[in-house]
Amino acid sequence: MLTLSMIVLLHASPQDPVPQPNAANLQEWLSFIEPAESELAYRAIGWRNELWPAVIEARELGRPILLWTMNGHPLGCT
Amino acid sequence: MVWSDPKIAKLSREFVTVADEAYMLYPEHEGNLQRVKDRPQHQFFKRYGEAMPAGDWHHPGTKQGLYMIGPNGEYLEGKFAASGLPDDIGERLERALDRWQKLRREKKYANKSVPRVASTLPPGFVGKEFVLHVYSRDLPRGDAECGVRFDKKVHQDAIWIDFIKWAWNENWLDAGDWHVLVPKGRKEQPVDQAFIGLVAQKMLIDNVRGQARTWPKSAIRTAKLTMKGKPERGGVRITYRGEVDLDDGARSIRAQIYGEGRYDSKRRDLVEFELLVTGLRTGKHGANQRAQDLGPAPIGFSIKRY
Repeated sequence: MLTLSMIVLLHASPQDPVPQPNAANLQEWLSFIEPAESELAYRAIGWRNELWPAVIEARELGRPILLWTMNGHPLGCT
Repeated sequence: MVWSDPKIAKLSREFVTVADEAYMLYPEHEGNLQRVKDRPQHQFFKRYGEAMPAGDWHHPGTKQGLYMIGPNGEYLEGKFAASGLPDDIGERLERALDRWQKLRREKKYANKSVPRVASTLPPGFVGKEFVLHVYSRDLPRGDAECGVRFDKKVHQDAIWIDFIKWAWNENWLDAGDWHVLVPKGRKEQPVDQAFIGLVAQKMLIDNVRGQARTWPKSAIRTAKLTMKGKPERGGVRITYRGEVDLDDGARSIRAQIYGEGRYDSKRRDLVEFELLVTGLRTGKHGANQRAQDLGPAPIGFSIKRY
C-alpha cells in the first residue's frame, strides 16, 4: 500500500456548494454520481461471485481461473 | 482500472473469471485465519499462493490482487495489488496462457470452451426480492479536481492513487419489504423508520476512495424519510423527501434526500424507486483514504432498486 504521504492533498472548503436534491435536478445528479459505461467495463467480464464454485466449474471444463480479489467483495461490497 | 483495456477483456475470456473477497479467502489476521483454514477455497488459494514468487504473493499481508490459477491450484501468474497496472496485467495474462498451454497438455485437461456468463451480484443478494444498489461519488469542489468522469486516455496509465479524482463506489442492500415505500392515501406520511435507518447505516457510507465500515446505530442522530402519493393511470406516483445526520465521532455525513417511485397497481409492484442523497461529509474511517481530505466536502449517493 502506498503511504499516506503519497496521497494527493486535496483542499476541501466549507464553502463548496452542495446541490439540494429536488424534482428538477434529480436525474441530472443521479447521472453525475452514477458511473458512465466506460467506468463499468468490469461488468462486461462475466464474473462469478465465489471462488469455490468457480474452481468446480474450472475442473469440469479443464480451464484456468482468473481470480480478482479485494477487501470487500469486488462486485460491490467494498 | 484494468478492465477497460480491450486486450485484458479479450484475454480474460480464456479463463473462468471469478471475483471474491480476499479477506474471506485468506485473512491476514491470525484469529480470522483460524476460522477459514479448513475451507476448501482457502486451502486452494493458499496452495496456489505458496507457489508464487514472494513479491507477487504479499504474505502475510492482504491478498487483494489478480491471480491466474490452474484448475487444481497450479501457479500460472498473478500479482498482489495490480488492478491499476493494465500493461503489467496484460503481460501476466499472456504469460499465464502460455504456461496454461503447457500445463493442459501435461495434465491432459479437457480445455473446453468457457461459457459466457453475465456478471452477477455479490453473494447474499442474488434472488432477493428487494435489492437496492447505491453509487457514491465526490461532488464537484471549487478548488480540486473531484467528481470528474473517468477518461481512458487521461487516467488509464496513471498510478492507481490518481483514481481519487474520478473515484466512485457501489454497494448493495437487501432492503427487505418494498411495501413500506408505498403510501396509503394522499397525505404525506413517514416511511418506516427501520427502512431509512437501514439505508443510512448500510448505504450512506463514505467509501468513495476506499473501504469504510457501516455506521453503528449509535451514529444515527437523524434519519427521516417521508413519502407522498399521487394517483395516476395504472398506479401511484410517489415522491420521497428526507434528511440524515450521521456522526460517530470520527466521521460524519449530513445530507438531504429527494426521490421518486412508482407503484404499478396491475403488477402490484414498486416498479421504480430512486433516491438522490447529497450533503457534506467530514472525517475519515477505516481505509477510505480521507486522512488528508477531512472535509467538510460534498458527497453524493444514487440509490435505486436493482
